[in-house]
Amino acid sequence: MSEASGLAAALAGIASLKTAEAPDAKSGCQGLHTVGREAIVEVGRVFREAGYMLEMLTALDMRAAEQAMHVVYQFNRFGAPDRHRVRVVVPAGEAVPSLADLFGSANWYEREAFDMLGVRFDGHPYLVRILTEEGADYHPLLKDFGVAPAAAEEAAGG
Amino acid sequence: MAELIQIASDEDRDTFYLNMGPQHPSTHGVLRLRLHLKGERILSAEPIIGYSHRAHEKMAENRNYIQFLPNPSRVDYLSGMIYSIGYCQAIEKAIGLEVPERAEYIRVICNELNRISSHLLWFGTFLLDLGGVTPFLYCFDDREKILDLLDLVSGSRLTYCYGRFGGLVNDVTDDFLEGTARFCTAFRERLREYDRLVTQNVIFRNRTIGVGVMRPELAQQFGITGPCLRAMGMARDVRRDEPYGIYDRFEFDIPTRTASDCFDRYLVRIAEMEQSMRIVEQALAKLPDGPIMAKKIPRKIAPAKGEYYFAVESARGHFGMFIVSDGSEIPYRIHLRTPSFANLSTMRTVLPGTLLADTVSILGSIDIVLPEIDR
Amino acid sequence: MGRIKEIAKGARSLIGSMGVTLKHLKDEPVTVEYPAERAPISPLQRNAIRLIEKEETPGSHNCIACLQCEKICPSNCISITGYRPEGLAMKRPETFDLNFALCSECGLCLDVCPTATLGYTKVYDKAGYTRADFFHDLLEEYRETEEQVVEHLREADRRKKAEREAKRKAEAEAKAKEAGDAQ
Repeated sequence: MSEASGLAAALAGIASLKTAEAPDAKSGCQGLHTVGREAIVEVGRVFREAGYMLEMLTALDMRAAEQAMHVVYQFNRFGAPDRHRVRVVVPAGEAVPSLADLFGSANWYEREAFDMLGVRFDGHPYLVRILTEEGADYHPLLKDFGVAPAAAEEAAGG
Repeated sequence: MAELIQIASDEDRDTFYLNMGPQHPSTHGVLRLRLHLKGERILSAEPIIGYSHRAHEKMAENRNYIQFLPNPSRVDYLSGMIYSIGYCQAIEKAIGLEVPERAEYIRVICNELNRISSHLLWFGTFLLDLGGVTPFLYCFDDREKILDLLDLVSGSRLTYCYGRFGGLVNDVTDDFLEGTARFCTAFRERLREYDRLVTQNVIFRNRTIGVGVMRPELAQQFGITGPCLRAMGMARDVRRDEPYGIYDRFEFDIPTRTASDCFDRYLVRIAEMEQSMRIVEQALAKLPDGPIMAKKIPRKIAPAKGEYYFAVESARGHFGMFIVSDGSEIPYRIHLRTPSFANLSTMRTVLPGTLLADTVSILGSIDIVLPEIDR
Repeated sequence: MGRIKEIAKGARSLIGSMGVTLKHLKDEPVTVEYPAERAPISPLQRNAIRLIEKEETPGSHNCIACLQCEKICPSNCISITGYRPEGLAMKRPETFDLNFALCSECGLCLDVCPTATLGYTKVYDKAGYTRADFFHDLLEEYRETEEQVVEHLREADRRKKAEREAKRKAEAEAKAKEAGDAQ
């Protein structure tokens, strides 16, 4: 229990971090936070020192509603889940500091987020596409990346 | 072919780059490893993935929740049942749908059978990678029996679409229940045989003991889950830590080992098959009568606006679904957190310093399924 | 000395493994000589869909061209056009095509079918040289009898309508009689 309260205290020390009200069970999370992008490395360090792993990292295309991308980090510890979802809102086209120095898994997760949604990560050692082809000029999970209808695909022999 | 082996510099003719895969038989699908070698020893390794990327996450954004049902089992085709049912459970939790008891028990039976079949395929191919052809044939014989059983209830052999929101498509038959009970009895004997055939084998032991040790700090750094984590001595399993479905009603152990080498990862999986059988037998004994579909299923499947995360334990580790709903019938975003993705990314740290021949056993021992990594 | 020990250990493990293999020599084969023999398939096995023939009226199916299956199909592999024959309450399909090359055998179309007309074929080893080989015309076997079936349905509809009319008439009469009795 002291570990958890230590974490809470450390998180409270980060100025731009805002913690939402206790989420309901459906969300699958124990803590929801929003943080300014300049502080995300600090947040990552707090979680790392508390023994948490970076369970998931992805981005959401919220450009239609907010002209911004959301980068979602999910930290969890081993054992009974204590899942914290940390969100960084970043204006479309701007970069977020990389967590690759803190978490080995962030290296690939950030590459995936870059590949799929075009979010750039400052300080990433090797930010190249990971799943789609090299040199592609698209980011498939952006909302304006259309899908060819099945009929067109069929006609094109795809 | 000219670029397959590349000498790095003229002064140092011992150092070169080797491209392993993407069509190498021991890369389990289409993984490419770019190895920087000095002689037989690996200086650096870079896994290159994405060859079987099918854009499942994009597909999710272009169809409604029901139409996404066939997809999860194709993400990881070896534990398709766990993925397919896991997706149903995720949505059921999001919309607050109760599942009848009987369906819950059948789900557990099918999940655990699927886990055994996945481990069996891993076991066979792992031994094949190390040069043992015989166990492969035995494993496929046993696995075939499971596939037949699952075919009996779900109608498919590999890419199941058995779960539905609120229950299952078909009820189980007596054939299935008897067959499963028979399989469990026969398989116990088979496991003992495997032990004699493989675990005691000198060549196998020499090629796995002390090979590919993952240091414990890697677990936190990379978010390793599943049998790889349990071989590090951490008894972590989503079925125990955050029970989903009715997993809290079963007695089972979480097998662990401590050396975290290829041999331990092998032993953990063998022990896990035994535990899965325990769960299947308990579920068979307790299987209640009743309906297999919930009575009131909403016509429109549309979780309330918000974000949901649901995790299940697949045969390879922690499989999480991050579902973002905007309140409509079509998901705003579904992100799949797949266990092999994190497990494979450790290879950049684990492989350097090992021998080229050990690459095959290390890669084999973490049980990667490339379509699940590429999604 | 160490070497001898190692050889002994190796020999022991070899003999142990060989023992397992030898034990299985007397086993019955678990494989069948495909395609001469075929293993039995599951009664529920999913393959290409078909329209189930109605038992009471051979040569007919129950499809009412409601397009539910076309709508739910995740891979858009079903295309149906319906028409309404004169004097019939329900629609009938004019074309019912399945592009099996796209089908993922998820079974969602069977789930939504309101008349339970869809079922699976038993052909699991279909192969072809072109994509056109996988276009299934599900109405093929029903085309010849369609006119008869429609005539039959029309007859049934007419009968039903007549029955309804008769019933309504009887009810009206009964009511009138009741009213008369009350007075």
